[in-house]
Amino acid sequence: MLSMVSSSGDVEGVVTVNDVLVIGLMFLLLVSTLVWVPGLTRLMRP
Amino acid sequence: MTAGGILRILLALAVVFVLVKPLGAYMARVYTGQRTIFDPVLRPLERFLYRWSGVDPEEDMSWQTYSLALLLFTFVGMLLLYAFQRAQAVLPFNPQKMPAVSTDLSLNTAVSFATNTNWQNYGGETTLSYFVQMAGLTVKNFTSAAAGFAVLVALIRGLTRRQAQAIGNFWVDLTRSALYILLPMSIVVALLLASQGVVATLSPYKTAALLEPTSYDEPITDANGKPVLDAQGHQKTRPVTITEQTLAVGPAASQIAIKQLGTNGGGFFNVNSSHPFENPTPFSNFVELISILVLPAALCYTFGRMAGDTRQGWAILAAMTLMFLPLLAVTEGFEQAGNPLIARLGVDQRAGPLQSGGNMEGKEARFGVPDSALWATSTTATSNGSVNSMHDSYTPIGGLVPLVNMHLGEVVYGGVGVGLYDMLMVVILAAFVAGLMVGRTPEYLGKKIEAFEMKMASVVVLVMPLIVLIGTALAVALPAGRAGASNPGPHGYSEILYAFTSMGNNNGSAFAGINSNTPFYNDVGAVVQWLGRFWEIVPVLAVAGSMAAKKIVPPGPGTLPTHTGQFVLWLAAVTVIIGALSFLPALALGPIVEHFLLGAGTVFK
Repeated sequence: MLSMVSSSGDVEGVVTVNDVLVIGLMFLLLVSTLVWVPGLTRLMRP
Repeated sequence: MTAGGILRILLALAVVFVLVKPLGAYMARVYTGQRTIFDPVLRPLERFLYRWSGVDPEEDMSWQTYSLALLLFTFVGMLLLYAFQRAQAVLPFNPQKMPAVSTDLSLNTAVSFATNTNWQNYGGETTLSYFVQMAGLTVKNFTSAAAGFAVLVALIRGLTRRQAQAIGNFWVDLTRSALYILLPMSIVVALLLASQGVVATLSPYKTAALLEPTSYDEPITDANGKPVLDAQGHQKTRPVTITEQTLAVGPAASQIAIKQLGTNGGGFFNVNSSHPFENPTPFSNFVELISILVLPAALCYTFGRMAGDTRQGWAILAAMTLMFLPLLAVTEGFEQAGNPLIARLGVDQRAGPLQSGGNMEGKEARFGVPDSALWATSTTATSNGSVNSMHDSYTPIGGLVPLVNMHLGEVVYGGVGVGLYDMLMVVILAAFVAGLMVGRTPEYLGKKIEAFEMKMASVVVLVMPLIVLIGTALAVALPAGRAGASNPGPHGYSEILYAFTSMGNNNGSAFAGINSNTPFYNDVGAVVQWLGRFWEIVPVLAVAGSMAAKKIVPPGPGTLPTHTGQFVLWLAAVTVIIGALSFLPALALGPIVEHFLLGAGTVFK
């Protein structure tokens, strides 16, 4: 629940390449979860 | 331990258990749509919310639709929290002029609060504006906790409905959890905390003159924050004298209330519930501790009520308590015994009228060993994660217990909703294995347990160890991971293991001593937290959907009773065996070896 270092911003008020990458990663996590159980059950099918 | 300490522990547990039945019964009324005392005020508000958001409260969802609604709701909330942090410099309620939060830290914090983990790689008072704390974090505290409730209720419906195709309405479950349970309780707890001195203000930070000037040597860093070294390679310092200090304040009381009740755990301030403005008195500590435990424990009774057999709920609560009490005794015992190296120096570490005794490093004098150890055990047994002492400073075995609590899957009371639905997955495994062993039909609450449920329950149980151990292995193998640990030897390894255990279990407590505000820990941690939450929830909902479609078979001579003392023992044993098989080797490399080395007088510098 705690950290030793605080963080300040890199760029303010501007959408950076990193922002796009981060949102892409979030989207990837969502998609991976949506296919998680259907994919898993297909894999487990004898 | 002093008699006072023992009495406080017994009193806290007694209050929790006294509240289990009335609170559990109330929650059962909420989820079955029965009238509650808050209806005159909240029912119109609830109807308005459905109308305003276009939700049809009568719609019954399949498990797939329920999962999709939950995932999309969480995803949108996560994006919003990310945007708040990145834009906080231009948003209101920012009296300290906090700049935008970095991308990797914003990602970690957004995922952390969306998944009810509340792992904090930031210091609240040095990083976030009041707006982000209130409109971002506190809102996520409510919604992520309510989502946990919703999944549990959907699973209970799945276990109790007969040949149904649906498991409820996610929007209704989410709304009712937040409105009828979390909101009223949070208001009461926030007022109690404010009465004890927990701050609740929107004014800027205060400046106070010190009673006497303080001097120290400040390390010198260059423009990039790197240490400036002298000819001998030592970091250069300059003498500094300070005469005043800044006191961080803010709208804390309301956030502390929901952080405990929703088993979120994210502190308003960096040191969480050790901070005197977040947890000022023994009474505030008592209130916060009860808030951590009461809802997860009471949900067992809610389950029993909704299943039409309260004995089932009591049996699960008994199995949880059977694991909780010995673990609590171990933490209390080792922390009160103190540090063996200090004992060898002839220092008296016994509790007495003039000293608390025991291992007081990293603990607040106003709480002492008993309340600190009780909190550490409770916050990791549940999925809370708030701390009132530094777990990094615990004795090796004292620090082992929080790890073990999480390695058991946080099913000992667990997070709100999460603990019980995870425990119900273990129940399914236990009933299946016991059924096979004694030749009984593997069934639970009259529903046959078949291959699909077993596969999904196994996935739920195995996902967490997999991501925790892979994350730890990555961090230990890569320089970026090893750089975070501030201690050498097994203690440094324990810091890394604890970090991934906490994130993978959506606990959020920190061992401390690890600098995890780095791109490596922020990015990998975000992935681990998401998978730990949603790669478990989706299979749980799949079990709910599968069980809902089955018919209920009346109990017969071949039925394995799941409310007896024998099953309680079996359930606790299965939980411990799964945890031990998954994590004993990892624990042996950390706190266990550290314990024996400490006993032999070996320390790492």
